[in-house]
Amino acid sequence: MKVLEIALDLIEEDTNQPRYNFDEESLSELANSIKEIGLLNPIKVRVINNGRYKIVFGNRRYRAFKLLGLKTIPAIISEDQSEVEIYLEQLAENIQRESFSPIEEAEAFYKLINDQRFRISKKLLASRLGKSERYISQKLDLLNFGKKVQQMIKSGSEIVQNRLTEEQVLPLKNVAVEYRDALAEKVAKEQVPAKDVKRISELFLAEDISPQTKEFLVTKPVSQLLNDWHEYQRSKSESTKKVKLEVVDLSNNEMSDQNYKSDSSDYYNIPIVKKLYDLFNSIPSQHIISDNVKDSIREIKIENRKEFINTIDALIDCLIGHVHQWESIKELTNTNRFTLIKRESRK
Amino acid sequence: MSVMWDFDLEKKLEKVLLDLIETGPKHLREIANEIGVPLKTQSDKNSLKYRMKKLANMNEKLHFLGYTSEGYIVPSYADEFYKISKPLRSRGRGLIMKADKIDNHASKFGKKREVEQIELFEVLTDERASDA
Repeated sequence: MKVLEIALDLIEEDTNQPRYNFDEESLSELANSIKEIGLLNPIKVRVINNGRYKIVFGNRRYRAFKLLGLKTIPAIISEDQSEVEIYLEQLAENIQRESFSPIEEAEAFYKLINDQRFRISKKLLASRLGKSERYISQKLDLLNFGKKVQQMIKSGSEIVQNRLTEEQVLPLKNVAVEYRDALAEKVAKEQVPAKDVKRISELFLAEDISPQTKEFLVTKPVSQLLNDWHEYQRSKSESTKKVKLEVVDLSNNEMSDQNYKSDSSDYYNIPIVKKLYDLFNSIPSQHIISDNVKDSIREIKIENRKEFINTIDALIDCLIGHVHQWESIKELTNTNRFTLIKRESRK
Repeated sequence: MSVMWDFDLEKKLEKVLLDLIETGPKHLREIANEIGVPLKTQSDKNSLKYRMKKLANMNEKLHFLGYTSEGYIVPSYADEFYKISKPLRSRGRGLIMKADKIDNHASKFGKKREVEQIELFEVLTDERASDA
């Protein structure tokens, strides 16, 4: 690699290079430093027609030399002639610099991927620049924003009013185009941290919020949008509470209400069961009255017959009363006492 | 069935309320019609009023949302503010009058406690409460 002193008149600037933003102030600073301590790194040029050269990188240094009124500049002559290689070299040279804006980088990536002259894949680009594919995709996403927003995007992570960092702007990349730029401008104006931008973008990406509501939301200041986000999260968590239908044995519930234990030994302590057993024990088992006993009817005198019949009627009434009573209790016990209840449960 | 208030509906209501500045006063029924909420039962009315109150507390522009005989307004002119404050003040005055009336009745017809100590205890607790 040879460093030559080349006349400035023979060198042409590369208008196609990735970097196009040149800050005048920093250019004069560079000129001053060159004047003081000289040029530390030579620029790189490539040979074009008629013995002329084109800058590969070092455009600012070239301009600073012109500003200082110097005639020659130290330069390395590049042997690479391929457009892609030169462009990639220019990109690699600039990508590390802080003053190289994310949008310039994104545009360079876009050019390399989509321009007819280059047409290289994202994967190859990533490997050549030593960056991840995700890094390249993220930069390309910046181009989804309008020109006005693109101009606001700056490198670094410091939040400045009316400027946007990549972190601030990227959560908005998937928001519908009609709200995206308006929101980005709002974010820049109100210096919203990236975490809050994510929350705001959630509101605008939500499918259960109607476009009319979103149109209304986009007119609100960020502080209110954040309140709305909290409100939305709350309403969402409420709506995800699922109502579950459950079959419940009412008798069990009632028993538990009255502090009855489910233990089977307590069955005999239930008042109705007690009553049943009392009655059952007091009534002798039914058996056929023998003919001898039946014949004793004849011994009843005529004056006692009426009383006898009345007593039988009373006994029958009493027994029928018992029968009716216990039949109704049996029916009640047999009734299906299950019911469906709604129970809330979270997803 | 009562209305399911979701985020969308609440924002719709917020927009209608904010628009009151431009459109002028609106009654509860008009507001309900505009957002498409039924207003059949007292519960529907209460629910809508509750949401309006909640939104008014949340949104600075709606802090002075109030009711006048012409309907709900978001005041901007001084006389509109007075229109909202006047009934509130008379309501307060009415409450004070009622409290005075009760005190008056108590001093004339209120029975004395049989156990003096209890009476003394209640006086003391009242004094402590007022000191706090």
